[in-house]
Amino acid sequence: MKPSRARDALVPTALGLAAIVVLAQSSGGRAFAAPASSASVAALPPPPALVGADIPKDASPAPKAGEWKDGVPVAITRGTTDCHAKRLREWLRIECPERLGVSLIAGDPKGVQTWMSGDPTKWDEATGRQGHGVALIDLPLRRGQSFIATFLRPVFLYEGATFGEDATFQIVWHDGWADPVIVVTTPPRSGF
Amino acid sequence: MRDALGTIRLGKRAWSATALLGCALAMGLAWGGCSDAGHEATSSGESTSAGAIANPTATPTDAAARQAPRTRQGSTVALTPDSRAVLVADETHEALFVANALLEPKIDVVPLPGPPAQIVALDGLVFVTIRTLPTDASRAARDAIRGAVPDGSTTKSLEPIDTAERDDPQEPLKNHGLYDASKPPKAKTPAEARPTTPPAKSSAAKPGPPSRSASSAAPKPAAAPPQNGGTRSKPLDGQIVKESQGGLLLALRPDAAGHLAEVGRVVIAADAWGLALTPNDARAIVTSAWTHEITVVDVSSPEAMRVVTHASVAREPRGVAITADGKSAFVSHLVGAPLTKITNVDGEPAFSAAPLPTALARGPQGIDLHATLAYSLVLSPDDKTLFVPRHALGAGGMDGWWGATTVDTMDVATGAALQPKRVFGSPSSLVESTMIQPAPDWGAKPATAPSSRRELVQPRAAVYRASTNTILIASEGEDAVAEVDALAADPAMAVTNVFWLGREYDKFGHYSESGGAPSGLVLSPDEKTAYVFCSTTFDLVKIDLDTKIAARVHLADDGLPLDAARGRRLFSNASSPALSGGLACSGCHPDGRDDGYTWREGDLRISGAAEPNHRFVALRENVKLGSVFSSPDNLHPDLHPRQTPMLAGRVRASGPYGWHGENANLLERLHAGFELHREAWGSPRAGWMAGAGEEGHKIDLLIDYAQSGLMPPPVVTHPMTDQEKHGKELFESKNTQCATCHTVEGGYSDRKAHELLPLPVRPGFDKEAAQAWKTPMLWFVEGTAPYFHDGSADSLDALVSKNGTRMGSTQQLSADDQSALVAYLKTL
Repeated sequence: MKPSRARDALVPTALGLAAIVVLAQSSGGRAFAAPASSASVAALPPPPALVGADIPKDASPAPKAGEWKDGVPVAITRGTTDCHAKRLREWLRIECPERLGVSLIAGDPKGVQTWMSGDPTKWDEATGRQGHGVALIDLPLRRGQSFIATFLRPVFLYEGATFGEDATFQIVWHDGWADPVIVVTTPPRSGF
Repeated sequence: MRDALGTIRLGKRAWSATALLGCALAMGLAWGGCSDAGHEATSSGESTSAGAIANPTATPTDAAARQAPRTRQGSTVALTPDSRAVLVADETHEALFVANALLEPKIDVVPLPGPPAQIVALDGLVFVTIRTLPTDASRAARDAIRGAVPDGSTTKSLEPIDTAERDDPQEPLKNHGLYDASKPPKAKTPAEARPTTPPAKSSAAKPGPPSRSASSAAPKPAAAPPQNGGTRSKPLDGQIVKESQGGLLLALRPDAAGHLAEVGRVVIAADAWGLALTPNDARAIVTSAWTHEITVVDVSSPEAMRVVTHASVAREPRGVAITADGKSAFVSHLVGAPLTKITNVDGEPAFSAAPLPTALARGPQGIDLHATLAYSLVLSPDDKTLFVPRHALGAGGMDGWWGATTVDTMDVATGAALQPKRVFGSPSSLVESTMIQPAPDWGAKPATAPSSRRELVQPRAAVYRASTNTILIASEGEDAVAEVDALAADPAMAVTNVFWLGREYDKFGHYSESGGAPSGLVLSPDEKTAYVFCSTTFDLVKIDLDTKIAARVHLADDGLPLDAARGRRLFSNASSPALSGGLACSGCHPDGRDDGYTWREGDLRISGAAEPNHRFVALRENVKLGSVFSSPDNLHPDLHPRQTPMLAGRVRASGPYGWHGENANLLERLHAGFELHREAWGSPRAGWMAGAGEEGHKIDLLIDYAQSGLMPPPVVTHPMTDQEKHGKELFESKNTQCATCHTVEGGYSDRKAHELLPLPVRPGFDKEAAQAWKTPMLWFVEGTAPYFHDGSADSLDALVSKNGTRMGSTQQLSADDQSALVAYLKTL
């Protein structure tokens, strides 16, 4: 390595990084704060937690989009988030607003579906604010199975928006557990 | 409640009457000092009385009368059953510290016959593992290294801290340019406040300056380096220090004055470390790390303990967890993914490997990852789930050049791993937009496992917090305790709380002046308080887990010379931007040994750099591809195997160092190491980031510690057997030519690079042009598998049998001769 050359080459990148971090920190808290309605929602009683006894043991086809209107809201068991969950038969839907995407990271992908609508990075002329985007994932709740899914949020670089790391959901139902749990963790917002 | 004599009774047994009397009559302190602070029980069940001591006349047979211990699983810190005293096993000072639970600055120091590793505190009885009972020569050498046994005179209270706040070790010096210079400066730390007299010259034993000024052109920070201790460190002689009469399990009881005194001992395999007792207190399971043995000890009569059985197991057994029925146990290993399972613990124990794949949820696909740093493991309260915090080398994550911290989970009943498997090509949806740029190298990628939380690096100890179904994990590298969700599929991905313990970071050296390298923890009965021992700064911290406010007491000063003591703190520090990319020296060299892993070294392109640099990755899959900055060089880099070398007792030589002997001395090697041990993207090397002076200062401290404070493993020496003698003859014979390069002087290395026939290229690696390899030292060679630079020989037997004529000649040796040669090598 020629340190001086490498150093020279790195300076613009590093300065860019500093600016990126500053931008990410500031934009993360302003444009993509939790929806205004969340305060009032928080005042409502939380939805009930998942109860294993209520969840059918027999597998059924994944619900079609229209069926989810009958889904019952359920609590995110552990952790705090602006995302929402609901259950229909033995299926779970997790829906997160203002996200750029969602991926299943671990767990049996059979029957799992993901969806993305809207684009929160676009300016919505109609509303005069950033556009909306919703990412959601549908998973089967089966005894002895666990899943890990991650969501992505927008982060702004000089070059434009890019993906930032966001909430990780872990849906866990080990053998012998009466009820499944939904654990959510969100990394510190300062990074990607 | 209090009886007529003013003795606190917590539970069924008085813990202080004798001690208080003893304190009044004797000058010493008993189990934490003789505070007369009122003896009021606190909400967490502790008493303000300091002289917590059990009735020394108690016998283990009156089980019904005994108070239950907080835990029967060993750690470096333990709480007495009445929660009135905290015991700390400090191997550096070779002593037990007994403090009261209020952390008053009065401690009892119990000198021990050797370095303690773990404690279990029962009612009126304490068990301690002792890593080595040194020989007389070793004793003298260790005393010289350690300094005087503390007498409590340097014990002092430290200011309470809010552990929710981080004292950022990476807070830059002024004029670095990368950060906001308008940020108001913090108050000076004690280190900064010290007078800045010129540093003394380094020890004569230290190597000279580097032959190339790799970072000489780098901008120097405005601040001057802190005052060096100027205390010359004398390199230790590993061949003397290692001499051992074996490991010990000690039993101690309070004497009439309330001081702990040895009542029994049993000799077991050297490097006795982990400890756990069966629920009926009849048997103890002890791990011996370096000698890779597990011993089951009958402790039903502590004064006459005896070995029930022992077994040789995989490398570096460490933590022990025994099921509530006392019939089964699990042992974690510092090297490798499988655990050891012990069945029939209460009868005739049987030992077997228990596979537990690591970081299943992080992949990569089709590769069984190598695990390291499983110092501990913990069972859920219902005994159904076993949790193993450790490092998964090569595990995927946003920034995982080395891998990721994981908490692997096992279904105890079935032995099945509970983490869901990583899936590839799995469902994933992304916004469709031309507005979205690819993330930078260090950024988030769709369908990428989440980043490993840096608050959780180099996990040391773990306790299950039943009231919250969380696990508290001592995070050595970040001077923190991380709390993770035990109900998560991978609890390491679900950090719920962080308690930052490190304070007063030296702004130049990035070492902490307090709260460094937590190594053990214990919970109060109500689980609202955690006691944590910080092993490089020798502080005991008491964290209120609700408010996060922590009381602290500094138990003793480091006996090493000041620079070496600072080097000790740096060695385990993962947060300094100069040292590496989020992993400390001890992350790959735990206890100064090795992780048993073969890394990949290659020319990788730093984001935006004009040319590639030498970097390490755990797996090819850890090389980042495709970003707004990355280079096509990273698409198909040549990656060469580099097996982690052991350091302890092996770094006295002036040089050269490096697999090819490419570094003239240790200073150069550390310069190179600072470059190697970081991600190929993101933060550039220290020379640019921190300035040459800052980097050199850290290297200076690390060398001091590596040469004078990093203790070699204990080895029991014995007269050579006939087989070993024959092996020695073979080793020294002209036919094998072993001793031609492995010269006795210098630890069986001539320290020259020799051209050797290339080994077959292993899967996952690339052909390497340079085939001149520096003769490796053979000291401690038995415990450093795998062998060769590429780790292709998993045992010394395999090394000798497959060597042929590559190194000297062993092809002519019979099977018996080969065995003899191996037997001799194991004595070195």
